[in-house]
Amino acid sequence: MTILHTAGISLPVPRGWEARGRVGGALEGGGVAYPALHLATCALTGDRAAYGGGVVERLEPDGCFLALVEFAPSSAGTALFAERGLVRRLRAHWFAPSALQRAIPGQLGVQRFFSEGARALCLYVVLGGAAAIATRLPEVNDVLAHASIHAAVRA
Amino acid sequence: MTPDRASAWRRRRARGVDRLVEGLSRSLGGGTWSRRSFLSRAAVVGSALAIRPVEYALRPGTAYDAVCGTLAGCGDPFTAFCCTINNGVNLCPEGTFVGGWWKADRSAYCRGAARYYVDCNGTTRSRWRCHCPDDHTCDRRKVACNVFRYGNCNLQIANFSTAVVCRVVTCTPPWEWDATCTETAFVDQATGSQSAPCLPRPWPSPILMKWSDLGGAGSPLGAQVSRTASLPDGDGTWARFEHGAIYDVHWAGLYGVVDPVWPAVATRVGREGIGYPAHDVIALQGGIGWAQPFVNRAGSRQGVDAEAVGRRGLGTYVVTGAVLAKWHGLGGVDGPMGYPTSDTAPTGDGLGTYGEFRKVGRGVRSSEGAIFAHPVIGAHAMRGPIFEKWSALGGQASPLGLPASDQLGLGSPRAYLNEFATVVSGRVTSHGAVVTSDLGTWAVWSWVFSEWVAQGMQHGRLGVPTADVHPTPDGLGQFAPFSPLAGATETTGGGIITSGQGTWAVLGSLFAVWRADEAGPRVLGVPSGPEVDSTVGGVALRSQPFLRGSVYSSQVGQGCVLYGPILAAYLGDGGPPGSLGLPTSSVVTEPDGDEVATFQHGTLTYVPGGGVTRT
Repeated sequence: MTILHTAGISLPVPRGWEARGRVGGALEGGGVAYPALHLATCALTGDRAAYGGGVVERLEPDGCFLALVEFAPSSAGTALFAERGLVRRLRAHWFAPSALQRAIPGQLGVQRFFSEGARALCLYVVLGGAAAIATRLPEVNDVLAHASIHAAVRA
Repeated sequence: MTPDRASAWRRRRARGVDRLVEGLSRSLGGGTWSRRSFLSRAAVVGSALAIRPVEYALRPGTAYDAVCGTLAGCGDPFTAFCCTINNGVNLCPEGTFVGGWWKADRSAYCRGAARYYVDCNGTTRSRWRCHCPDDHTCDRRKVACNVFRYGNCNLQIANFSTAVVCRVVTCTPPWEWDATCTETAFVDQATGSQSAPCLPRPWPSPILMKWSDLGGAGSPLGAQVSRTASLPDGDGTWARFEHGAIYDVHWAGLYGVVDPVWPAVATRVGREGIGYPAHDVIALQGGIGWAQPFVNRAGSRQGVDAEAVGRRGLGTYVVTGAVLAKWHGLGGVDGPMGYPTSDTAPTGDGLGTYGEFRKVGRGVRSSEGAIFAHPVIGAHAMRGPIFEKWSALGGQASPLGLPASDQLGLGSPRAYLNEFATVVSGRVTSHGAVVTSDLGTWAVWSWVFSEWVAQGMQHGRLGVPTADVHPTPDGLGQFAPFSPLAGATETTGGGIITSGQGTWAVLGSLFAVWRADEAGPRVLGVPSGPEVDSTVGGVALRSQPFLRGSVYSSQVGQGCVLYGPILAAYLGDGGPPGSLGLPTSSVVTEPDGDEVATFQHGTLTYVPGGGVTRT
């Protein structure tokens, strides 16, 4: 199985999916981008946004997009990131058509903020449609079950 | 202010004593702006409607629709702009909080710089329900439909299950615009063309751009009331608003000056005054206070030349120059001086400057104080009882003059002093001090102070003053009493008396003898020399001369007061080492008018008109 390694995070890539990772860094004009790992059943374009802008618009009804987005280390342990560790299994009823960054008819989303290894992260998953619950959710849960997040390396 | 200088000012404000500095709350009615400001902002929404009705009216047709950019319909995936649903106010509406942000780079809406989009998420008790604005606007994007959190603002709010109600746009980086936002950045260029009729058009003037960043129609500035005009000397441009102004100064930056700072500085902004704003106003101590720095290129060596600082209930005052530097050095609003209660003003001699301050604490009495900065004696602060004493004695016109030290501890709990100095023609002519302790707060100055210093101040046998310098009862001099904090003894405590006979300390029991004499017969007068300690025939003797007599105190005779012919005869006999030995009594006037004093080895009797005889 192919594994996506980016910035100390490893995600197994289901067969037929595309995977891309960004390590982040200081941005022109201010702000700092942190690592973001993306998996999708469609092509991941270079201009995609961290939460799937530019990708989710092209998801088929049985498609899926998964983002694991990191935040500044100082965010770890705050109330928003209080949940400990990456969730290893998503339940079907957690997905909702309203839980989307871009509200695209038919799609379902779920978002979870958490801290792991002194790192602050957000898991965001979009299913192209209800049909994907049966076909893609098991693949997503397999990814999560075998994902690894190494502790932050202090400078 | 240059970016470096602005960040240095923010860093200084952020560190140490100013840790409580908080950014502006960008929700309407938030912590920074007063209720009055909030009401003003609500009122100016009406003004905006009157001034720019075209932007709020129904405008059918593709040209108008183009204002809103791409994906502006109800069926499109995005959320409406806050100004669309909030009467033109480009701020998070009530019932929302700043949930996160992203940016689109190289935006025409921000004159080629990044444009920031800030999500306003509903609170858990929010009244917002999913809908789309009516067709009176081309921004018909969703309201409170997308349950999503960007996650880079307000991390102390765990909630990520409420919808994004609307979006604010700003050209100011969110971590500067709202202190709860982090610099964790997300970029989404696809949103770069999205806008609304209530937002500035592409390539706005810097002043319009700034006005929009401050909230637009909902900003504390209110509506624009003057055309944009040039500043003198080619420094830049500015425009007046209902409740302030925005300055775009080439070398200071683009900043607004708003109520409550504006009324305090309105007539003084500019090179001839306090300079131009170098940062927007920031909230202090959770919104209780506020501050805004100003720079004047001609004299901005220290980064900030003036700072308008205010607090609820106290008003806003301008602190400048060396007083400002000293105040910051003491911790600013979080230090012992607290907030200013006056503008910085010239000292009475016109050479220095000063400002008054007040520390307001919860459940404790307010403490007032002042900082004086003078070219001869430097910049120093005084406060509390010491400041009150100095004020009661006449302030700058008092015999103390101006503070010549900060408040110094005396090595005992609740015991402090400030030194003072008077300056005449550029020279220090006199020193003094105000001492506060469990024995009260008292002032000493001039020769009394000098002698106290010579005696070792609070560490010497005198201890600390227990009254101000005041005239002796006989009017021949001035004096101040002293006592050690632990209490006076036979040889400690006392007083310092200054007169035409010089300035002398009178210690312990000898001072008690002098005070009793001053209250009664007044045969001694002021001291004319120091105490002399000796041993005569194996007996320890303390003696001190006064203008008209002397005091001798020993084991054989304590506090013996000799004066007149008897003292002359005793000294003629050689005094203590002479044949009479040590005094064992004071001179006593008998009923017949004779004066008698006894000694170890004899008695001296003075019969008026008959001379002194020894028996």
